[in-house]
Amino acid sequence: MATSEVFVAPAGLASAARRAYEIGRLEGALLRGAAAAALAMPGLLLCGQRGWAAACVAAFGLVVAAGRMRGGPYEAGSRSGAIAGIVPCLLPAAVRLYDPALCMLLMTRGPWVCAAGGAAAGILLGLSGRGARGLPFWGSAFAALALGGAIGCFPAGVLGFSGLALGVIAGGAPVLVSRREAWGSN
Amino acid sequence: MDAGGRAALQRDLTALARGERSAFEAVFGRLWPVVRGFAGGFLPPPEAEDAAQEALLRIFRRASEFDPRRDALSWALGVAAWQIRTHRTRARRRREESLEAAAETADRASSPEDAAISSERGAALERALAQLPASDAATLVAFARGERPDLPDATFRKRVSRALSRLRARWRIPHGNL
Repeated sequence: MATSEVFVAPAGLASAARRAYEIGRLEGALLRGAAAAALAMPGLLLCGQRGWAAACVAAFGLVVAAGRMRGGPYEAGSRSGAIAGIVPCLLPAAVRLYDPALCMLLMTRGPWVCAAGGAAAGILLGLSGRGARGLPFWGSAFAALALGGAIGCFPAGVLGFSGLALGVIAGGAPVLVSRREAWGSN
Repeated sequence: MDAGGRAALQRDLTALARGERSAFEAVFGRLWPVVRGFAGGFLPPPEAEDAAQEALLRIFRRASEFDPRRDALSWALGVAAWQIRTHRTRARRRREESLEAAAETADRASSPEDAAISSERGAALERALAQLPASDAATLVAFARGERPDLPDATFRKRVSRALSRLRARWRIPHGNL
């Protein structure tokens, strides 16, 4: 006799279990969102432009938390985007910590720091998203990357954002194309 | 659970951990009998039902933390075992507390028989005191209350001693020795 024939689940247990699952998922999402925002904080604290950058930090944490809550490709996309986006977020802060004058020079003479960070983010995203398809993954990935990168590139203004975008394309496209070709040939 | 069921649980719990809500029913259907049977091995039926429900809710609350590289059944039973142990500890404490409370209540509350005897003795004492001279009764009441009249100690002790002797004599007639 199978055990399933012996034990019938009490009424209401399934809905209580579903609630428990959603509560657990929400707890995990809040924790992950808070961790992502905390990781991006040095970018906010060291690079000025507090108002907009603070909004970006909050939105960054929110995108990561929402991705985790929703699950599936949204979670995978927001995770990949956050990991990639943390590089351009923290790179200007790291340079500024090393030498404030060098950071200002790089920012004013051209958005090189942002472009370099964007290229590194593009490579990371290309590597992690090589098998991914669909808007849920790429939408949440680019949202997380853009918000994370924006935190670090605020001091460079529009030029910084342009550098970030070009860097992401330049770094990510070749990796993605070559990976997809290798994927298709296998 | 057979190998097929175990593999299906692995697949469904992995999907649920990734946030695929469509796997919920399958995981619930597979886990409930297993967890209920598992709890039944450690606890008597009514407690097993409660503990199994608590364990199942705990498993679903932590389902998103499940690492697909681990064995799903072992993971679920590990969570359930922890919850069952917590339930047993709680139940044992409750039993111990209720036993202590019952013992205290029994100590404090006298039986109806004791109460009747005590009441009867009180009435008999009052009757015996009423038969004593008023000064003896007043001395004994003052002594029983711990009051000290305005007398030398030795005098008061002698009066108490005399009054007690008379009270014993009165008491002995209907009740025997005091």
